[in-house]
Amino acid sequence: MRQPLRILSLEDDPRDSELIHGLLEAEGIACEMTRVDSQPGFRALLEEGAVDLILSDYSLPSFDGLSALKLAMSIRPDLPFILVSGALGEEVAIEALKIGVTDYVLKTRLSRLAPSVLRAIREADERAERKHAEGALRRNEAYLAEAQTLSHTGSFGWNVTSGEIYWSDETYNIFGLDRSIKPTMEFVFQRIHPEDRDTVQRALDRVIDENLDFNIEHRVLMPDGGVKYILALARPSRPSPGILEYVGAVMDVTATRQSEAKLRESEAYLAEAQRLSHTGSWAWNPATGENRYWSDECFRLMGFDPAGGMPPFETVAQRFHSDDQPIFAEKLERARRERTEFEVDYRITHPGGEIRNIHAVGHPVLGPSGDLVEIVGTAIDVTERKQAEDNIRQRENELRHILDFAPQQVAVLGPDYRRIYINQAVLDYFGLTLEECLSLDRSWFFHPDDYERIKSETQSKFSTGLPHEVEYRLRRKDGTYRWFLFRYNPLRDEQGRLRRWYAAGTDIEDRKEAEELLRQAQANLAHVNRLTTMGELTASIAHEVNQPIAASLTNARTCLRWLHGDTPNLEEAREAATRIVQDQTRAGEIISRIRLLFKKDTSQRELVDINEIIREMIVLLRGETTRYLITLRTELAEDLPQVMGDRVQLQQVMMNLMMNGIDAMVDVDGTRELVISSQRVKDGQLTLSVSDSGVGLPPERADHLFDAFFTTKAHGTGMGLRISRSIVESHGGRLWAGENTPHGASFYFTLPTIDAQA
Amino acid sequence: MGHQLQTKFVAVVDDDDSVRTAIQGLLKSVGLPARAYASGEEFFDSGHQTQTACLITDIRMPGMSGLDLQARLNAERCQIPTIFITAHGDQDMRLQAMRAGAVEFLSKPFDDELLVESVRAALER
Repeated sequence: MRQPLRILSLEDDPRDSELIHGLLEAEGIACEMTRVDSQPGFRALLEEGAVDLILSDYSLPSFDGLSALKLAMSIRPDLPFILVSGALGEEVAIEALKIGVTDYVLKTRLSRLAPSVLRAIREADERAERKHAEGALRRNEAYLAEAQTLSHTGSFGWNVTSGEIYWSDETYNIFGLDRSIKPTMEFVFQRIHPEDRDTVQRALDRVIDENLDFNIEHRVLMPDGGVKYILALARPSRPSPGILEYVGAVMDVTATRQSEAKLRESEAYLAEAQRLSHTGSWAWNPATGENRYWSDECFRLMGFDPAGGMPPFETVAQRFHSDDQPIFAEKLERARRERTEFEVDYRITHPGGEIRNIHAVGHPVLGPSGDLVEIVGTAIDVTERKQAEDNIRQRENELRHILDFAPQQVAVLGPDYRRIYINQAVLDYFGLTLEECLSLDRSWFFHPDDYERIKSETQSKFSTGLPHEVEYRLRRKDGTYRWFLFRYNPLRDEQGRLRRWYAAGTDIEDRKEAEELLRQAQANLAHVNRLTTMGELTASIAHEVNQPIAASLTNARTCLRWLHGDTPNLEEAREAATRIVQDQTRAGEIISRIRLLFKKDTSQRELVDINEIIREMIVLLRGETTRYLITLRTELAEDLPQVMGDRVQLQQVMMNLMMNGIDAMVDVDGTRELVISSQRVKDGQLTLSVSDSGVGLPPERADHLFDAFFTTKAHGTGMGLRISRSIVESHGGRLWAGENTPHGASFYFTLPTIDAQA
Repeated sequence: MGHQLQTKFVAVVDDDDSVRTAIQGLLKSVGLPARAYASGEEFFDSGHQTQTACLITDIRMPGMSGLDLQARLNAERCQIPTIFITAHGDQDMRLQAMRAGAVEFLSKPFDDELLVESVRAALER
């Protein structure tokens, strides 16, 4: 009870108020009384609040006790209100009680006032206390419920004896049960995952038996098919004998379990990844100089067993290659000192003696104040890769070696003909360095006579994009020129675009020289052949020349005859003289042709009419045909295109073939006929033939016909056909032989004509 | 002073063009009409045998030789006085020709007087 008690007295007579005051004081109730006698005054004091008790009269001039009571009930229902009045009557009393009066004391019985006040105050205090306690309780309950929701924790109470269960809201949520339904153990077990029911039951039985706390984790199968992980904790209590209760909490730990599973999974993947890529992770403590952490793979990389625990840093370092130890130490020290990135390659020896190449990388981890906390990083076993790189490098060197020492000039050009690669042979030949070689203008390397030809030939050949060859002279470092044959091969990519030209050049100077010597030797041989043949023809040539000369003599005599006598016939004489001129001209032509054939150097090419050549040779050999009584027939096509060739050489071929034909018929009894034909075969080619009706080709040795020194004649050189063939072939034609019917041989040869030769 | 033959003439057979025309020209200059043939075959093909009063022929010719020509004439009983002229002087041949009835056998280059006289002699036979 509050001392002093603050009493609000609603009393119009102050003497009554004082009387009551004195009465209460006398009973030991210290109090302060404040008297009001009107409604506004009453209300004001009530609203102010500093009142513990109201004593009120019943009837006042402007106010009445019941109204005051109603007012007090509405403003301060907690305040005790005691009516002190004269007789009121039963009905008023009941009315007052209904409204909420605390007590009613008759003025005639004021001895009851003090106890009534005390009781009223006591009850008011108790009420206040209870309210307070209820409020606190409600607040606590609210906090608890909030906490449970946030932590997915629900509370429960389970009276094992009666089977009754209490659940908090959150527990309802967790189990997915409607609030209106009362939970039962049956229901709980229904919810428990079928696979876990046995375990839970056994656990419960045991804890109940042994009166222990229970701590059970199990799964719960929700109606929608979802699975939750539940942790149930509870403590036993025996509120009264024979009654066992468990009070505890259930926690939905699904999220935790799931993330735990995910974490384990990703840890497993990480470990797998490390294992597959031979990458290990590590953390090094700069304060201690020791490794704080190694992943399993890191142990394996370093050649240690994970089960053996983290080896001391020194032990690990000792396994490093002696050359690498100081470098490693220095780099690590620098990273520590400057708090920078760390990267190093080193070799480490495994227990079995195997040496592995390791590439390590690390980052500094700084604390809040910027100091180095640790260095974390990875280490990769790059042994295989290094080996592969070494192999590649070695092979590259080998290839380069091969290219450089190959006895050929090798070059690679880009699509723009820029020189990408030149081998050593090229540089040695030119006596230049690579830079000089690439920087000099192309014209420096080539013979001036070849340069124009090379430019045009190269351009057309390269533009076809096909493999091709070119011959040209290159200037050697000593200033001399040598002939080279360069072959070019293109390289294309998948889209068919030309990416590279590969060139290989062979020194053919010696070959060229040999070719030249051969050409000279052949020319000499051909000359000798001509001379020999001419020698053989002496008699018939003499005969040939003799004919026109003899005829000239006759004509001259005839001319004189016409001029002699009385009347000289000038006309006839003139005719005779003209015939002389013709004869002499003919003789002169034969002589000059012979002279031509005696010439040694004949490598002149000009446009020749092949029929003309045939006719000329017929003239030359007429003596022979006459001598051996051989009929000569020609089948010469008209308007044959000309041939670019060596006149003397072609005459020589004709002469050889005709001589052979004549020789073949010398001893033949029947018809002796030599037929010479010329015809156009197709565009760009003509064919000539010399056919005889002689002894024919030697049967078994027909393939040796064109061999050197092959002859069927007693005094033959055996070179005629050989030389003829090489002459024909050097003109781009072919020479071959065939049988003639009914007997004899035919020799054919082709020549390319002017309209075929590019 | 040669006889002018109205219907007959001298035949000259030689495969060499110069020789033929030279002889023909010579005979013309002494007033003897002559016809020239490039080969024995051509002579026979012409069918002028009967009109030929005298024959001048080369020995060596492709195809029908002079001797062959003479033999064929004999076979056809065509008695034409024949004079042989040849670039290849061959004694055996000369004997053979004379035996077969040749009037004369001359070598090239021949003496034109000699030829003319031989022809005249053959014509008077």
